Amino acid sequence: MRYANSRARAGRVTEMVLPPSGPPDTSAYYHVAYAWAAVLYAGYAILLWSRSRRVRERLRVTGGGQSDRDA
Amino acid sequence: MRPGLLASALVVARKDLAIEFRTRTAFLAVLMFAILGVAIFYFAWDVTAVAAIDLAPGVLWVIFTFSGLLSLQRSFGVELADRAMDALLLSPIDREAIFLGKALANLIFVSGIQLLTIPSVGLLYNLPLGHALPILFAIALLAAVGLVAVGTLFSAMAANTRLAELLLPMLSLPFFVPVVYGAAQATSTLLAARPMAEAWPFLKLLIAFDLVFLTACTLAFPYTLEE
Amino acid sequence: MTSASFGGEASAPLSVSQRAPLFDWLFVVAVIGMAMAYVRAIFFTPIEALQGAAQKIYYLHVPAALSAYISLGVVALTSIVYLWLGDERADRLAESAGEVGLLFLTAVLTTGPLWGKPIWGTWWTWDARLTLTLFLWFLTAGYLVLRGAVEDRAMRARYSAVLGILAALLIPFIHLSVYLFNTLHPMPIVLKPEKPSMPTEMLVTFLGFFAACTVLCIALIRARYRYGVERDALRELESAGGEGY
Repeated sequence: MRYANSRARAGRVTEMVLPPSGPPDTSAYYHVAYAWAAVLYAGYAILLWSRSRRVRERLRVTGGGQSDRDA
Repeated sequence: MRPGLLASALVVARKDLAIEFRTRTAFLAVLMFAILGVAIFYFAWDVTAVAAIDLAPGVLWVIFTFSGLLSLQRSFGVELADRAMDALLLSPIDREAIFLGKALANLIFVSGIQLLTIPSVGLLYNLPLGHALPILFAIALLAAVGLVAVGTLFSAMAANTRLAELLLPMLSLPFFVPVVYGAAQATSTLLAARPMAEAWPFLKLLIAFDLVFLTACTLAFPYTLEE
Repeated sequence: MTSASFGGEASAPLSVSQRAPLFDWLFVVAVIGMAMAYVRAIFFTPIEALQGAAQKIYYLHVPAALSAYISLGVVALTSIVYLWLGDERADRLAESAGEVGLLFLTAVLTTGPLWGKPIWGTWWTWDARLTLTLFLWFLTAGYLVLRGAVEDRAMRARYSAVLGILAALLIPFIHLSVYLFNTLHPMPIVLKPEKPSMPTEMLVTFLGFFAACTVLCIALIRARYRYGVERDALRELESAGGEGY
């Protein structure tokens, strides 16, 4: 206490004043994570849709060919 | 009258082992692989940085896993030739007995490899095994039961697929994790001359795994056969 | 005539145009729900003071984990049902849930490290949940590879069911192994946030994501199941056509 006071009187008190720091900037991780999850889920839905389209196409062809043969 | 479960299993096991030891090629090949693996690991590590006694449990049980897999690969290969499996299925023994018999044969095979590999590790890594050897063999037997229970079932399944050699490791390895972990921790407790009471949780893990999976795989085996 | 069943199957074979669509109202609800959850998390939820923006990954990560566990639970249950009843619909449901489960597991395993690096200071840690999720990923991937490797349908169904049940039995052993490992080797973690007591706004976002993700999970499993119905119908037709020669 006395030490601090004497230094204060000497007028050379150097005080480290930290600026009030907000939360760390981790936004990059957050952007990547949200974007990636959206890509993942949407990608799977699109994959399912394209597989289904191919199968339906072949069903149409095979089903049509089948009935022709029977006739 | 249908022969009892254990008796039938012993018959199947004896048949498999007889075929195996007629040529002994597979046993020697797997043994060579195991000892070579132990040697390679030695060169893969900086032995001045890591003491051999710290390295040894890890090496031992990793090699155990991969030589175990090799041993299992050949187990159902035996039946594939000449559709010998059909003959086996036509015989009046329980499906479960077939599984137990094959598992027993695999157990003897894998244990035989371990019987020779463990002393090799002691030799090559300069470990004072001595009195620890019987306990090590006991741990190896416990681990082998677990490995063989799961591995025999999966090799039966994999044998019928297109990717047999790839599928067996891929399916089995997650199942080997509790076995390897328990065995390795028990081994390092033993080698560090710490009281075996410390290793008890790991031994319990091994025993529980063995009991659960031996039962489950025996019950599941009939489902893997064609109706 | 389309039936109102889960998979949109009917007793009589349907023509292509009559089959239940893959993505119907349930999927639309799921997409809208996810979009709303996203918007709420991004724009209407405050940034957490200690952890920064990365804490928001939590809203994405945990519901994905729940969806993964739901899917894998379905795989285990339908595996038992298949071995017990022999109904191929159970097998088809198992296959669908397995694929969707792998999707969500992948989401968990990728968003986890993205959260862990800024929050814990490390990309990976062998803590109980992450380790278990990793092994579930390997088991599910193995399950799907096994399915791809067996050509006979009945054998494929039986093998998959056996693997599904055995994998379910393995989970407690992995858990025990990890627990033993962690009690013996506590991981040094640079920053360890204590469990945040969530203010209401964050809790609402969290629950919203839970709801949306679960609906998405069910919608995807259903869509995948319907695809499975079509694909199996095609295989039937193609093999029947072969016999005709």
